[in-house]
This record gives sequence, C-alpha cells and structure tokens, in this order.
Amino acid sequence: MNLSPADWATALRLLDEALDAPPTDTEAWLAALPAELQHLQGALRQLLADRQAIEGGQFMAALPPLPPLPPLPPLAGDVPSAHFAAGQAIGPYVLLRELGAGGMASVWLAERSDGAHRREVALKLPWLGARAAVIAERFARERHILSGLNHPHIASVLDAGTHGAQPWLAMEYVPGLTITQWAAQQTLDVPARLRLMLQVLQAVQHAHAQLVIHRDIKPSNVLVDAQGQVKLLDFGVAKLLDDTGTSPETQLTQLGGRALTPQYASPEQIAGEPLGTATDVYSLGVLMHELLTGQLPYLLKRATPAALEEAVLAAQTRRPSAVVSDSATQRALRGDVDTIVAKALALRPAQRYASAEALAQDIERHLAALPILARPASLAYRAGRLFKRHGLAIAAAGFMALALVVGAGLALWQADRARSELRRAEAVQAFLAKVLSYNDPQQAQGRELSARQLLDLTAARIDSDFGTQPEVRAQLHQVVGGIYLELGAMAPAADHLQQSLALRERLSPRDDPARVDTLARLGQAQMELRDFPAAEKTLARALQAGDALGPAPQRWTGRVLAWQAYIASQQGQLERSVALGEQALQQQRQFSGEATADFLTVANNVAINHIARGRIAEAQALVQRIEQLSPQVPDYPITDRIGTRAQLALLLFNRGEFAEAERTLREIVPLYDQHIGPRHDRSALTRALHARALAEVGRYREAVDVQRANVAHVASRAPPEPEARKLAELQLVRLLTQAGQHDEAVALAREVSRFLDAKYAQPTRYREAARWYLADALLGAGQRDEGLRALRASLANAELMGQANNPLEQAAKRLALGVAARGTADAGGALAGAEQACATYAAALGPANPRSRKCQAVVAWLSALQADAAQRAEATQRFEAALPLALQPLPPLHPFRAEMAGAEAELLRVQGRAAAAAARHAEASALYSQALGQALPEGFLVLH
Amino acid sequence: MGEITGLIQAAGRGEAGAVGRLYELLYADLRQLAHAKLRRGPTPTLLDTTALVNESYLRLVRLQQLSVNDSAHFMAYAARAMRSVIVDLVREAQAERRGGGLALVTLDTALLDATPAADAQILAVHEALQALAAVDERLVRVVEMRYFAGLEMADIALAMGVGKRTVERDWEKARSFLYAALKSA
Repeated sequence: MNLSPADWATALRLLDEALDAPPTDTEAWLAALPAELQHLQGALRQLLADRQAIEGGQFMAALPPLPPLPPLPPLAGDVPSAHFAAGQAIGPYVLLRELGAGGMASVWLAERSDGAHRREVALKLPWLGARAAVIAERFARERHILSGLNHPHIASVLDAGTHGAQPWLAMEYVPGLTITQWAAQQTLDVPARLRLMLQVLQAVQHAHAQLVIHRDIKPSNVLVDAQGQVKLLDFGVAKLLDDTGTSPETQLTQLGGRALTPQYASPEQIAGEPLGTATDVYSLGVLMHELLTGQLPYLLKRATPAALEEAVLAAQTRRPSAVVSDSATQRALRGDVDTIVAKALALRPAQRYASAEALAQDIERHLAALPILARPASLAYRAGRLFKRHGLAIAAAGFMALALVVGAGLALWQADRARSELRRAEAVQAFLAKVLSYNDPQQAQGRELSARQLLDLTAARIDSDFGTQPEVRAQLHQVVGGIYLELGAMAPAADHLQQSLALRERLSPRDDPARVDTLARLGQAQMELRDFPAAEKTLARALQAGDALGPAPQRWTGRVLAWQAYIASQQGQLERSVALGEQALQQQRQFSGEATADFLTVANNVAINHIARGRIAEAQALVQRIEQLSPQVPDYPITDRIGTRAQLALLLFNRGEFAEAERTLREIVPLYDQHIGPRHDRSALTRALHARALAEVGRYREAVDVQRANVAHVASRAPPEPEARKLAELQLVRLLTQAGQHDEAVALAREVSRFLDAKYAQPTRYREAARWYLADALLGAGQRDEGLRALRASLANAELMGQANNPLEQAAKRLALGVAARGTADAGGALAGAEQACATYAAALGPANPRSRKCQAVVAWLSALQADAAQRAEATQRFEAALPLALQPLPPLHPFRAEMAGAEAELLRVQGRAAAAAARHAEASALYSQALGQALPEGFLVLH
Repeated sequence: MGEITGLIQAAGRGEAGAVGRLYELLYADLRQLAHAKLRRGPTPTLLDTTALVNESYLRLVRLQQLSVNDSAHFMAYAARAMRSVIVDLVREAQAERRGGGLALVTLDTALLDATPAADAQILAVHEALQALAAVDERLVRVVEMRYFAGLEMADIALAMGVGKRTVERDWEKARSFLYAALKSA
C-alpha cells in the first residue's frame, strides 16, 4: 500500500475507530466515508482484512529468537568470550557435556583426563571479561576456605585453577532435581517440605559458622538427589564472581553484567548494602515460601522498575496461607508457619532470625507442636512495614483491650461506651486493612503502587467512606496525619491533623488525651513547615489542654517545650529559647528520667539551641550526656542517634576542626539518605554542613557539587516546600562565592533575597542571612558599594531582632565589613566593628580557636593599614605575630594564605615599598590561582 | 545527581546534545549486557531484552547514575537504544555470515510462511518504523517499548504518560501498519 504519511495517519485513525466499534457491515461503513476520504477505501479494506492474520498469527508478539550469532566484535575493553566444547581440556579435566549456563558462568560436566578418579565433577567456567585475572586470583585464594566446607548437605568444592586465562572451579556433581521440583514430584505434604527445609538450614548454618555466606540461595541452587538428600550448590561462589570489597562505582561492573535474580534477592542486596548471614536468612525465607506454596512471596511481575523499587523500599510479602488454594494446606500453613516465614522475610536484617539455626529451631518446635518464638505479624506490624516505620501507634489497640473487659459485667452505660469505641476501633482496623489490600494487584488494577501513593489514595477517601461517622473520621485523620508526619511529609500531615481537630471540636468541647496528642503533632508539623506563628499557637493550646487533664509534667510536656524553644530560637528570641529549653529538660527528667528516648530527644533539641546561640560548651556537655545515655535506651530512634553524631560534627565544625568534621559528615550523610531519604530536612541540613566543611578545608568545587545536589533533593519534595528550597539555595550562594563563581552567586543571591524580603515583613534570621550572602557575593564580584550597603543593612536589621540572632553570625558580618570597607571613609568605624567581632569569637569559641585566630590576624592587618606612620611599625609587628597562628591550621593551598600574602602586599605599598609590594602581590596571585584557578583581585573584598 | 538522570532532565528541557549523549550511554550499556547473554551455539537464542533493560536500570540505580523516579523516562530511552542494539547485532551477524560463507540456519519453519526469518523480520521492522515515524511518532515509541524491549502495556503507559487503553490501541495501529509494510517488502 502506497500512501502518503498524511493519508496513513488518517487511515490509521479510521482503522482505530473501526476496531473500537466494529461496523456490522464493513462495505456500508466504507461507502459512508466522507467524500474527501473515499480514496482510502481500498487501503482500509485491506487493513481490516489483514487484522485476522495479525491477531490470529501472533504477529510481532515478541522479538524472535536470533539466529546463531558469530563471536561478536569486541567493544572497547572487551575480551572475546571463550567457547567451550565437549572433549575440550580444562585443567586436569575434560569436558563431557554442558549442564547449564547463567549470566555469570557456564557449567559443564567433566571428568579427570588422566582417569585418576572416575568421579564426575561439575566444572564452573566464568565468562571471561576484563575481570578474568581478578577472578582467577580469587579462586585461588578462596578455594581452601570453600573446600573446607565439608557437610553432607553441601556440594563440595574440590579444586580450582586456571587454564590459560580461563579460571575454573570444580565442584561435586549432584544429579538431581531442584528442591521445588522434587517436592512436587514426590507430592510432599507441608511437614515433609518443612523437614526438607531443615536439611537446607543445617547446611547453611554449617557454612555460616565458617563465615561463608551463600548470597544466592534459590531453588536452582538447592538440589535433592535420588536418596532424598539435599545438596546446596555454589556456596560462597557468588562471592567469588561478584565484585565486592571495591568502591561502589565498580561494584556492578561485573562479568557479563550479571545482576541479581531480583525475586530471590534480599532488600539489602538490591539496595547495595553490606551483606551478612541475615541475607541468607532472607533468601531462605523466600525459598521456604516457594517450597510451601509454589509461588514467590511477592509478585515482581517480570521485575518491572516500579516493582523493584517497592522491593527495595518495603518488600510487601504475602502470607503463605493466603496464597495457596486448597484448604488442607491452608490450615497447615496458617498461624505458626506464616509467622515463621514472615520473620525470615523481615525487611530489616535485625528483625529476622539471627541465624539459620534459629529458624530451624522454630520449625522444629512447630513440627513438634510446641509454641514458636517469633512474634506474629499483627496488623500494626504490617502497617508499619508498609509505611517504612515500625510500631504504628494505633490508638485503637487500647480500645480493643477495653472491648475484652466488656463481657465482665460493667454498668450498662459503660458497656455502651465500650461498644461504640470498639466499633470505632474496628472501623479503623478495617480502614487500615483496606489500605493494605491495595497491594492486591486486582484492586490496584495491575499497577504497583508505592507506599506513599497507597497512603494518598486511601487518605483521600476518609471523608467519603465514613461520611456518617465523624468520630471515626476524626480518628482516621489523626492516624493518617501521624503517618505522614513519620514519613516527613509535613504539609499533608498538618492538613489531616487539622481536619481531625476540627471534627473533634465539633463533637465535644472537652479536651482529652487524643486531642492533646493531635495538637502536639500538629504543632510539630507546623514547626517543620516553618509556619512559626501557627506552631506557637498550636503548641500553646496543646500545653493548655494538657494542663487541664492533670498535673504537669506529662508525656508530651518536655517535647512540646523543646519545640517551643526551637521556634523561639528560630525567631531570634534567644533568651526565651534558653529558658524554655531548660524547662523542657527539667520537666522531661521529672516525668521519665534521663535514660529514656523522650529525654534524649528533648536534650538533642536543647543542644541544637545552645549551638544556635554559640554556647558551645553547654552544647557539648549535653551532647556528651546523650552519647553516654544512648546505649541504655535501645528505642531511641536510630535517626536521632545519627542526629547526635551530626551534632558532634557540628561541634567539631564550630571548634574549627574542619577536616575531622568533614570526615564525620561524609559518613553521616549517606546514613541519613539510607534511613530517612535525601529529601528529609535532617538530610538536607547535614548535607549543607558537609558542603561547608568541604569549603573550609578548601575543597570548594566539591562543596558546590554537594550543595547543588542538596538543592535538587529539596526542590524535588512533593508537595513543594519553597522556603526550604530557598534556604538550600542560600547555602549554595555562599559556596559559589567561595569557589569564585561570582556571577552565579550574585544572581542566585538576588533571587533568594527577593523571595525572603517579600515573604517576611520583619527581620528574621534567614532574611538577613540572605542579605548577608548577597553582600558577600557582590563583594566577591567586586561590587563594593552595593555589597557594603547590603552588608550594613543585614547587620542593622539583625540587631533589630533583639538579642543578636546569632552572635557568631554577627561577628562574621562585622569582620567582613572591616575587610570590605577598608580604604573608604568608614574604615575606622568598620575596624572598630571588626575588633568587636574578635572579642565575640574569643568569648564564644576561645582565643585559640582557628576562627578567633583568623579574626585576630585580619584585625591586626586592618589596624596596621589604618595606623599612622608612628604606630605603623608596631602594628605591623603585631600582624606578623598573629599571622602564623592563623595560617597554621590551614591546608597548604588554602586561599586565605594567598589573601594574607595580598594583605602583606597592601601593607608594603602603604609603607611606600612599591616594588616589594608588587612582587608580593604577584606571589599572592599565583598562590590564589593554584587554589581557585583565578587571579587574586587587587583590593580584594572578601576573605575565605 | 546521577549522569543519566541529569541527561534525562536535560533532554526533557530540549537541550541540544543531551538526547544523543543519553543514547550513547544506554546503547553501550545494553550492548555490553546483550554481549554477555549471547553465546555461540547451534540453536537460536532467545534474547530476553526485558531482562536486559531491567538489569541496566538496576545497575544504573545502584551506581547512582539514575534516580528511581526516572524509571518511566529511562524505559522509553532504553527501549530505543535496545532497538539499535538489536539491529546492529543482526547486521553484524549478517555481514559475518555473508563474509564467512556460513549457511543461514533457518528457524522453526512454521513461522516461515507468514513471517520472514528472524533477522530479516527485525531489519524489516526497523526500516518500516522509520517510515512510521513520519506518520505518527508515538506509535514508533510504543513499538520500541513493546517489541524491542518487551515491556508490559501498563509500563509503556506509565512511560508515555497516557492510559493503558491508548497504548493498546496504538499498538494495534502500529501492527497494522507494520504488517502491511512487511507484506509488501
């Protein structure tokens, strides 16, 4: 058919209509086409006629098998793959026939060529590639460990070697079926299958005891011989063929690009985390599930990306009893077996069976009809897993307990109340069950949804589903709000919590614990959203409502006070924030004692406040106390423990130990990414600090890169949080200036400053910080007048905030002003300010702190510049004395060194020694160039 | 931000060179994976392209070159790269065969009467797609993702930001076009 593209487009469109609503009489339909389309009749007729052949014949149903391809031309870095054939000699063996091949290696049946033993072996021959030499070396190194694995249920590794470039591994040959095939063939019942598993577990336990993990447990690696004995293959071999122990970048550049079979891989394997014996336990769980039900515990339909993501984040597994169809098997699996499998498949390694042996023992207990040790997976447990947090605190659980008491003859009205609470509890449970049931592909229409999407979907239905039951709605909004809070999604959290409050208000004017809880959480959400006025009101209400319920302190008192302290400090009310912080600690101590998660959380918040005020010593004392207490408080969330480390990093940073701070932060950032994700506030803050630390040690480009990534993460929050993004961009401005990328710095700074000025009518810390950074950027770009104006405005506005918002920040600004205003009419005043700055540094950080020393050197220089001839010599001497102390902690290529050399040049010029001045400036510029790739500007206006 | 993610975003913004570079990288990656899967043997090899695309995806995510949020875009680009990989492999094989004088081993003859031998079909589809691109570019994307990358309809819908039904209808239209084109070839 020869049609023009336009005609084709029309023809296809018409065809589509015809396929969608097939005409009863094709000819009539064709004849009825408008006049201008009549010429397409022939083509359409043909197209329609062809449909039968297309649909009947599976036209293009799949890519056809490719005919034999010759050895492919190598790409750069490739080594042509080997070709094996029967009769070929490899080491002391000769190949007989191929047993199979995978993405990593080919396996051949072989026997000794010298006929020494008649025993046949399975010879594993990895595909060659760039890593052949490494693999060969590993085989040699590891084989004595592997051949030491002697166990009746483990296929022994006999020998290893290389044949030319081809490494080989000789293993015991096991003729037999896979464990799943065997069980099916023998039609084994559940207890018999469990007993098979016990054999597998014995093997795995034996290997673990020798510190060998399998890493690739799946049915095809678990064979059963004719005598019904299990044999595990490839123990530890996965490790040899994988690229471990190298940097993450090369970890996956493996032979032939072998990737895991996702269906059997544990969450930590997919996420690329360190493995351990618990990894094998997980795979054993998958194997067990498949052995008992014939199916995998979760549907990874052809490992689609969405499904893989889900597997990494929250492997949603199905209970074995829920999967099988025949009732006898269902009965045998329900309860204990379900629980055992679930525990083996726990998302976090620490929650699984600690060893194969522990798993085996529970199975044995079950077989002997004894109670097992694993905890049953309750609704709360599953909901927790689904939403990536454990221990969802459902208030309904309390109501369930109450319901149990009802039958014991309470007064009628009490029973009534209990019953209605029970109904509410049931509704909540049903709701959550519905949320979880969206995992059912049928319901979700074949799309795999992320945990967050599930939550969004069901949360949107609360009002419609429970329209006539306001109490249930109030409860659900509260629960859902709490979940969002846990996920770090503050905007929807606040939204739902507010709805819950509004509903409760309408239902009853009385305050009750649930309301106080909701108020406290709402306050937290608002605080995290930086809506401080609202947060303050909410938290004040929370305290008030709480007070009405009973004597302070109560469970939430300390935390609420700590939040209030934080809000106060963010708004510049530093004295008030200190007072509140102290109160928070005291109340919490009184209520719960020090060795509790609550106290540690409060202490953490108070420490942050101390740091914000520049009171390093108090902060340090608190942080150390927290580190001391943490081991006694196992339920102190790991993210908070990381947070404590982050606090220490911050302390190190403030003490000027930048290299060590950077090292610590480098470790902490990925931990946060892993536990709470890169978009979370805490991750963003820590990343920003890491960037600053990198800058302080002179690695400016890296600092910029890190912060850019930070901005990207924050910008991708959903729903968007523009203020948080601006803050991240602000931090980027600073780094851009230091890296010498002035134009970008100025442009970005202007934008952020404009945004914040529009948002805040009154001075706030960040509004003025933005102005300061803009000043910095302008000065770095050489725009003195505008830069000075902005710097002065920032200083003045910040003063208006009452107690200077952060004395250290003000000091930094004053010092900057001293440098930038030198040589202008205001140089004297600026110098006085800079001297004040040094006093502040000395008071807050100590005179020996690197920042103090830097300040002293700079001020000494500025004084010498301004001194009249009589005093200049002495002033210069003071500068020469202070300078080495300031330079000492800096790395050799730090730009500050260059700037100080430039400072010396300026002094020389003022002293009239022009030639020496020029020479010194040239040196300074060369140094600067080495550090930053740019020349040092004459009359530079900013320091590093 | 990973390199691939960065390129995907740049391509989305229409930046010159981003798309080209993206394909380069994906092509190289997929070809390497395909390499490893194919081995010499007497029987034809069913190349599981879906698995390859997914392996590539997994690998890039773990190398932090790609964000998990980009899976839909990735699939679309990867499918197109996969098309190139397959076509190139087939052409190389043909060239070698012609040069080496080996006889073409035909496949299951039942397939022969309606459809040509595998490599001829692949090349014919590839060329027909070039003609189809002038008619409706979207149909070409669907074919790449369905035929060359073996993705499910639901995933294609996600990648293209349309409904599943739309994809199914597109697929049928494309098939009709290709059938007509192959028949007349």
